[in-house]
Amino acid sequence: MSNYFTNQLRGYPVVLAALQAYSNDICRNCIGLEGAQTKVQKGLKKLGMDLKGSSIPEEEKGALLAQIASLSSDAEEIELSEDCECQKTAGTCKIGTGCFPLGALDILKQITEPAAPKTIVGIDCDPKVTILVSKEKSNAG
Amino acid sequence: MSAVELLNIRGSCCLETAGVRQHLEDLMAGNTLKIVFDPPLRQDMENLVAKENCEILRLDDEGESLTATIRKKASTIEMLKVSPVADYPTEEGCFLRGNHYSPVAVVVSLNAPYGTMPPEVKSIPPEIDKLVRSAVETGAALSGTLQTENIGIEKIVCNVVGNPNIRYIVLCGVDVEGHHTGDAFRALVENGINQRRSIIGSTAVTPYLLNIPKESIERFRKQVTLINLLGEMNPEVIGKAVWSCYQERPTPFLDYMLSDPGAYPEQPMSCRLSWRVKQPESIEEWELEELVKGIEEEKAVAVPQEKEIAIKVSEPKVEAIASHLLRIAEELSQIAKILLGEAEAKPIAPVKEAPVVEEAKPICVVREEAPAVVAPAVAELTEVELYFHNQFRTYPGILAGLSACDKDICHDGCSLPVAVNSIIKKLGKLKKDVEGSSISEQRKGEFLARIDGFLEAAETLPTDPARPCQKTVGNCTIGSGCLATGAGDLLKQVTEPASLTQ
Repeated sequence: MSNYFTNQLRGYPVVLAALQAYSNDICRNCIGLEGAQTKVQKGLKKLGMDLKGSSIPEEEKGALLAQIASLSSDAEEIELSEDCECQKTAGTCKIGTGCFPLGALDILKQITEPAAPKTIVGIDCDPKVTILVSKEKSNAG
Repeated sequence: MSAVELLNIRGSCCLETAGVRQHLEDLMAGNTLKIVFDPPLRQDMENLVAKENCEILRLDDEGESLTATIRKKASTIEMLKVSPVADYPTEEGCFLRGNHYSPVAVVVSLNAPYGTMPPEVKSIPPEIDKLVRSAVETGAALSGTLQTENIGIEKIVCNVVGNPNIRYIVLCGVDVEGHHTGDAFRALVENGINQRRSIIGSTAVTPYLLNIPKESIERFRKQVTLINLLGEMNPEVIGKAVWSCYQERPTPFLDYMLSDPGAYPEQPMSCRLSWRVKQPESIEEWELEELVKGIEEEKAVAVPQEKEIAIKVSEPKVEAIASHLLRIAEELSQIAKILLGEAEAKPIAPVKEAPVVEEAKPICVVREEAPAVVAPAVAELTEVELYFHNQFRTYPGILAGLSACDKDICHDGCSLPVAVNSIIKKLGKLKKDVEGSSISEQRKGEFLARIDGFLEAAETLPTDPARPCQKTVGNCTIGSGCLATGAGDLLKQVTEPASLTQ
């Protein structure tokens, strides 16, 4: 089971590095980056909760929890303006329909194995579908 | 013209046996009836007419007989109408106000990109605007748009329970794509919410009502009847629905039988959003339970605070407080005099304070404020310049991502160098494109300097692909994906303007 957590935690530094880089761009004033930051924070929080409830040896658990704490702190430090608004709406972002912060979040989708243990839910990074779906629940309809 | 019926009851000994009561009962409102009768029955006739809610319009005395022209009075229906709460409508929103005694509100589903409305849909689409306006012109109390399945619905609930006269909600317009807000609204009226404050039976993504009291939701459901016309965009149909709702007598409309039942027989509720949850769309399902628990606990704690707290203050304390207040008043008066120029602006000699033993000061870490990001004036860029500008915006994120990969097991693998080499190639191509473009020399210089900066950063990363694949050696077990490739894919976010070679 620890492999699941280790793999998930390999994705977050990459995502956070990209988000931090985009916070130096106009994305700092954007709800896209704000939302991505929230998603990362929540994802890490959930990962921590699942880790605490798992049967992984305490020593290993401690090391992983420390890693989560460090990543959460990095997520917290992403620079954002006080009043964020969509930069497409504001007319300053003209890259098309894409979004850098949301694209950065999608890096997490590269991690597909191992599947989340039955008691753990996975994150869907699609901004339009933000619900977490547990495997057990989806089977139950 | 109403029909005039003639009834001759001359010779009858009483009105009952002559069937006059039955005739008066059967008389339609507004219609008239002429009755010829014998003079001794005049008093009885007048009494019966009054009893049957009729009136004698004219009484002709023809000597041996009397002819009364009788009309049924229009029935007066007693209908309760009340004033809404003082701050009605309590919540702001995208709606128009009509007559607040009207029993109907119209909700038009606003099918526009959620949250991030691009400039072209910044204002309400004209067909929806037309629908909203025509509804309020036809007689709706409120008519507006609904976009979100959480905050939007909460605002409607607040505004409706603040006006008990509203008994119908006409839901129309095309449902919000992907979010199914209209369906969430229907489900709320039909099913209500569950323990986790989610709308039961809704297909919406985040139908969480976390900012309003449960009581207001229940009241809302009891107060209104939903006229579900979701998908309907014809103002005439909506207008007919609105009109039917305020009829005094039951009026058929599609499958509904509508009429104004009067105000909901309970006091209006003044309800506002608590804004405890500002972005319900970012809430994950697993968070709900904890969040709802917090809301309930907060509510439980808040109740005792409403109790009046009596603090006993002794007389000496009252005197001390009074003297302090007096001093404050004097000081304020002095400040006012200085401001008006009536007193000299002299600083007060500082009061000598007893030396304070300096305690070890805590180290205060002042977080340096990051420099503000100034958006380049993209509007001033030419199409070609904008193309380069957008491409350049991608690379900091890609390079940062690849750098992060370099600190992981990717450092020893082959995928990271492959991704880095691909980025270097793309930057090289971009450089050539800039050099060959027709943009100004000054701009060209700026752009080339940026590319060189990116290239410099990329060249610090591993570029030798002759390393073992970390999946093959068993170190990377994330599946078929690759974090370095994922970082490189950020380039795909830029789709406009089209590539220069296209």
